[in-house]
Amino acid sequence: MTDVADRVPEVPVGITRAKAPEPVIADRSISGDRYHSIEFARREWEHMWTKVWLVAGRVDQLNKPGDYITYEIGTESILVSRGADQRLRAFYNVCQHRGNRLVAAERGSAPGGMFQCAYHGWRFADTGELKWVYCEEDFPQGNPCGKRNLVEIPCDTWAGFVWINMDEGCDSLASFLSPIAEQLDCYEMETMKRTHWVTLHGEFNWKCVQDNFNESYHLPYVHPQILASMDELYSACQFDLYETGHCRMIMPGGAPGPQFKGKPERVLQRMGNDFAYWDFDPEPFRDNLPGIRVALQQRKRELAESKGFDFSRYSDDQLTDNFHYTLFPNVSFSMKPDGCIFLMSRPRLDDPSKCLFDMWYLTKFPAGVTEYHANSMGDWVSIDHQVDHVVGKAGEVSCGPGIDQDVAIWNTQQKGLTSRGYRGDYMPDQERRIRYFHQHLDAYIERGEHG
Amino acid sequence: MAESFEAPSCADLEEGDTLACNLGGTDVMLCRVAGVLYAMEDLCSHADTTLSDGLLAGYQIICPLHGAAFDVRDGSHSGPPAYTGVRVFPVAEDTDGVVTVEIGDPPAQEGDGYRPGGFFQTR
Repeated sequence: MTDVADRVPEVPVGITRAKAPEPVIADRSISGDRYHSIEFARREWEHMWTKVWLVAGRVDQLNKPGDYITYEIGTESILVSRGADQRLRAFYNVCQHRGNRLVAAERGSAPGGMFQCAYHGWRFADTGELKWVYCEEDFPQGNPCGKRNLVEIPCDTWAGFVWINMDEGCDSLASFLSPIAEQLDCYEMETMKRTHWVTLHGEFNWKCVQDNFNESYHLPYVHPQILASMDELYSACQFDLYETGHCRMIMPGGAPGPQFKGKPERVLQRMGNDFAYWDFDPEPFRDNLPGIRVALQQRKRELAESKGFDFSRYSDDQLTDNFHYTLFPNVSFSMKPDGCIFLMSRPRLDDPSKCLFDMWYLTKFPAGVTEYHANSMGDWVSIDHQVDHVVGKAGEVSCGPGIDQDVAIWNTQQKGLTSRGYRGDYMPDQERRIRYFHQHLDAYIERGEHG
Repeated sequence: MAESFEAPSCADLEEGDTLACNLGGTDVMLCRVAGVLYAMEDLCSHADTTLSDGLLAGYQIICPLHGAAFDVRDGSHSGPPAYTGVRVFPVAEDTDGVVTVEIGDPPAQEGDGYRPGGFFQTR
């Protein structure tokens, strides 16, 4: 007879490490013109950007009826508002009278839940319905109210993010996000608060960003500081490439790997904040630095509750390792037990050698804590402070430790990508997520052009 | 506050070779170029490793790990992957072959290089 307990299936804790089957990746060169050709940018826009789910903002920007955000993407501006019925809706941000951009601000609350055009005063409700026009009796074709409403597009939410899609016939957001959403649900990102919000006017194509976060080959050169706290070598990492075009990288962290050639003091210095916060004594590991990883995981388990954290939905690996996700086409989630670095690039159709690069840090505040040191940003954050949107040029505003190093490289990479002397990529296997990303992009374009 | 330390003899140190030693807790690389003795901190500013294991090409010591290069005369770097130089120290060799290195206080560290925390760290 089997004991009941033996028959109860074990509830999986944390993200599955099941390896995705390796997809077939065509050996197609990634040419430089993809990064600066206006014609290629136009094809991307027509056949890809207008067909995919895109992150437009955070749900907690839209708490009350009438609250709105605008989201600039390519040649479009998308208006997302919360209606009096509590529904979130997304519209093209364009007045249906004569095409004026309806809302200029990037966030706000519409007075009385009405959006009024600055040009001739047409008023639209937060449901998109045209409610009032000046001289309504003077339209021989009939009063436009209730007829010339804002043009609505699909809008949904996941993980506290607002997602929009310009394709009315698109698949559901849940289908688009598979299998990433189910993996990341354990982080409960909807409970995280955006504590950093930076937008760079980058002098590089948007794909430089996504390419970069699709490979870790550059880490020892561009981010040498990581060698003291993680094992960056590809053979220590797991790469998963999913059918939906999204990818995952799991990289061991919490201790240096064999490539670290420094002294133990450097590890203690580099991870000092972590050790102090978790009251962890690294001294016994001076001669066994890799041993820190598991010991630190155990320590975090022991102290989590007393620190106000609920790590019950995380695996031990998630407490130290780097779970890094790249979502097609333009988003990265780099997960931490206490937050997420969210990275996003947006195209510039007027000049494909430029883009908008967004860096958000989402903080998961421990229970009862209002002031918190976000270790990943090296910065104190407050749960009460509404984050400011910092906008500027690369080099003038900072995206925080680490990311600034990437930005500096993209600036010089873009210059090389436009060179007549660039012959296209020559990549190692560990960079195959880049090729897969471009293959997925090409598939959208080919479907759009040839059906 | 600078302090003088007697380094190991460099009598047998040939052109193009390096000699590693620890002086008062500081790892130091000694080398001789064009007959002149130089002393530099034996630690790459890019990623921790000993420069003395690298290749000395003229006045440039090239890090064996990622190829960062530094001028042994003034510690300046030649460009990425390094973005900061390496400390150099006054060194003297008297007629009896006694080598003296003067080591001052390390400069305050700044920048992301070794600041705790950062994008790749968890809490």
